[in-house]
Order: sequence, then structure tokens, then C-alpha cells
Amino acid sequence: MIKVRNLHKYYGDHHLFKGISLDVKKGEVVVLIGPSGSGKSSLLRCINGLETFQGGEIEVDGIALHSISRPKPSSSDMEAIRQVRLKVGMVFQQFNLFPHMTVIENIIEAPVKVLGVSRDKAMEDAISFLSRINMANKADAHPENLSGGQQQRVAIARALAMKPEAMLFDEPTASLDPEMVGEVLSVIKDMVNEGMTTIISTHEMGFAREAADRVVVFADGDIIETSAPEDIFTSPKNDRTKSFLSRILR
Amino acid sequence: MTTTILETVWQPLRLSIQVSLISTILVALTGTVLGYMLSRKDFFAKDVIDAIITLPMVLPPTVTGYYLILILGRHGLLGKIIYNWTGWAVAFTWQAAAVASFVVSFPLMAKTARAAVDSVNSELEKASLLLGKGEIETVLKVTLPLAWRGLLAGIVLSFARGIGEFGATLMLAGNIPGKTATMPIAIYSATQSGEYSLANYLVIILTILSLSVIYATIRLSKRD
Repeated sequence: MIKVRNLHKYYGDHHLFKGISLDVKKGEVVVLIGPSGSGKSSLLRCINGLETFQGGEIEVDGIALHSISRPKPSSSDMEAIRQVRLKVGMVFQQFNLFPHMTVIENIIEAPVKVLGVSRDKAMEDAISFLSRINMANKADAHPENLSGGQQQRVAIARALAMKPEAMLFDEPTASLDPEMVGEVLSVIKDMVNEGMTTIISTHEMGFAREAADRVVVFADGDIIETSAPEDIFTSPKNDRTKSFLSRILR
Repeated sequence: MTTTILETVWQPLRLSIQVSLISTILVALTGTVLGYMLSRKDFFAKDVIDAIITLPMVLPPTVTGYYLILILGRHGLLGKIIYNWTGWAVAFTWQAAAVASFVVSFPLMAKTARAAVDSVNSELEKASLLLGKGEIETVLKVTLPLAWRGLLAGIVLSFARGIGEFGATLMLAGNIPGKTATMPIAIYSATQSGEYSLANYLVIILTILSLSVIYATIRLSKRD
């Protein structure tokens, strides 16, 4: 479903990715762990075209994103990025709900404008999504009147309303108060249980252990270890994985 | 107030409003586009363009007016072409006053629009793009609605600057009563010719007009 091959990514002179590769199968749940700045978010942002890369290739459900050495992507690059974005939803650490729209407007805006769904059908679907996350009573609220956990749940509903083939989560609980982490992870768990192809960057090791089919460990822009969660958490092979886990699980 | 004074006041008032409104509409559209480009895009000679559009803010209005004569005067670079093509001379018309008003208020709008767009979290635009929307739709649905207070401030400042414009207008459009004599020019003429009663009316009306626009904007921006 998602194939990353020999990816090279520079930030100015800093060579972050020096040829990393990763395959994610349809329906698979892959959790990215590793220290901050190790490249987890950058990889997610390369997959959906928010960041360009300078070598290698990314393929999402048969659509290829190529490396871009020019300052600006060409029109064919932009079209490929647009196609990928229709297949892959993304949820950010900072929610990024549109503050001038109500909850329901946030959810129906893209299905109506981009997918051409009728407004009535989009409203019906949005209410159904909101009911599943126990937020139907907040349909007309503005994001500023919601808690962080509620905003993140709406952000997930907004992404799912586009009926993506896969979902990317960039540290979805990192900005939340501890008591709100559970409600967001619960929504994500329900989603992955329904078979959604998912890549999640997170520091929630309990979630990684419980929900992941595979855990990928990043350090300094490199994938240093990838394995089933039980193997990573009970018998990590790489010393840097051991060091990272000992710090974060302390 | 006698009928004569009413007429004498109405002509420059009507002309000032006409010139400022047209100039403000054009400035609002073009200044917002340039402000967005300066905030969000990298392009060739961006800093040079930024410096050139800022120039009318620091140059004496007479210098700006002189440049406008060189460009739009009957024998100017562009004015000559327009005259040869259409037989119409831009200088000394109300349209020349609108051009002068546009040029001096454009930097205010572009700078304010840039600051307004800068204030919008670019991650929200990225979220919109990731939902499959195009750039223009993202600008119209996300960026501009979130930047509206700053844009409104820019539009009001531009209108106020246009209403108060004097030097460049006098240079390019002259002082033709009923045709190019806007409020500030009419006040100058009335004072020079000792018609202090007329000058008083004009000054009071101009002050009330400017104050009303600014007050209305403050109320409007607080309402949301």
C-alpha cells in the first residue's frame, strides 16, 4: 500500500534520510518510535507531499512521488501529490481544525468541495462520525470551545470523512493533557480494528505495544530496527533501541 | 449654510469619495494578492519588489507625483502610449487623482495584508491542502477568512490615506475645481484665497468622515 524506497532527504546541508526504505501492507498498523528529531514526522510529511525529498521514491497505492531537485514541484508532481492526498488522511499533533468553522463545517467542507458529495449526505455522514466518537452534541460548536482531546477526535473524524485508504498520525497525543490521551487513542484503536492501513508516530509505548502490527525504530534519520511489538519491547536487538526504550519506559 | 457653499463643499466631497472608493477597491484586491505572495511565496527579486512598493511611504508625495508625471503625463512613458492609442490624456483628470491615491495607499495595504497573512498559522493551510483542496480554494476558504481583521484594517487605512492624499494628486491631477480638486486640495485652495469659512466646513466634514470610517471599523472588528 505504501512503499518508501531508498529515501534521501536534506534540510539545507543536513542529510537527514540517507536511503531509508519501508513497506506498509494494506491493513497494516505501523508505529514509528524514536527520539524527537529522529525523522518520524519528516517521513510522514514526505509520504503526503508536505515535504519534498531529494532521492528515492515513495509509492502510495500505485501512485509514485518522485524526488524533486528543482525548487518548485512540476505540475505532474503536484497532480501526483494531490492524488496521494486523496488516498491518505493525516492527523497532526496540533489538531489544526479551522477555527472559523464549526465542528460540522470542519468535517463536511472537504467532502462537499473536493469529493463532490451533496451537502445533505456529507452532513448525514458527519453526524454518524460524530456519534461514533460521542461528539454529536458538539456539531455546532467552534474548536475554541472544545478540549484538546475533543479537538483531536474531530480532526480524526474530519480526515476519515474523506474516506482515505490509509491514515497517518503525527504524534496525535503529544499536545494533550494526560487524562485526554486515552479518549483519542481509543478512537484510533477503533479505526485500526476496522482494518485501516495506518502509520502512527508516537511516544505512547503502551499503545504501540497493543495496537501495532509492526514497530519501526528511528534514530538520527535512520531506521535502526523494525520488528513485531513484542520483540521490540521484550528483546530489542539494537543498543540504541535499548537505550531509547530504557529512557522512555523509566 | 448657503446653497453656494453647499455646492462648493459637495463637489470636492463627492470627488474625494469617488476617487478614494475606486482606489481602495483596486488597492484591496491587488494589495491582498501581493501581501499573500510576499508572505507565502519565494520568487525572483522579492526583496527588490518589496522595497519598490514601500518607496511611496517614505518619499515626499511630490516626488511620487513627479514620478507619476514621468510615467503617466501626456509625454510620459505610459501616458504617451495611452494618448496615442486613445486620444485621452490621463493627467489632470479625476482618474489621475485615483491613480495617485492608489500609488500612495498601495504600500499600506500590501504591508498590512502581508502581516495579516503572516499571522495565519500556515499549518492550517497545509491541513486544507491535505484534505485535497487546491491552493486558491485554501486561500479563499482558510487564509483570507482568518486574516480578515488585518485585511479590513489595511482597507480602512488605505481609504483614509486616499481621502487625505494631497501632494501626488496635486502634481498629477492638478487643482481643477469640480474635476480634480479633492477635499485636501480644496482646503488648501480655500485657505490660500482666505475663504476660511469654506475651509472650516471642509475640514470638519473631512474629519467626521475619516473618524466615522475608523470608528465603524473598530466596532465591526470587535463584533466577531
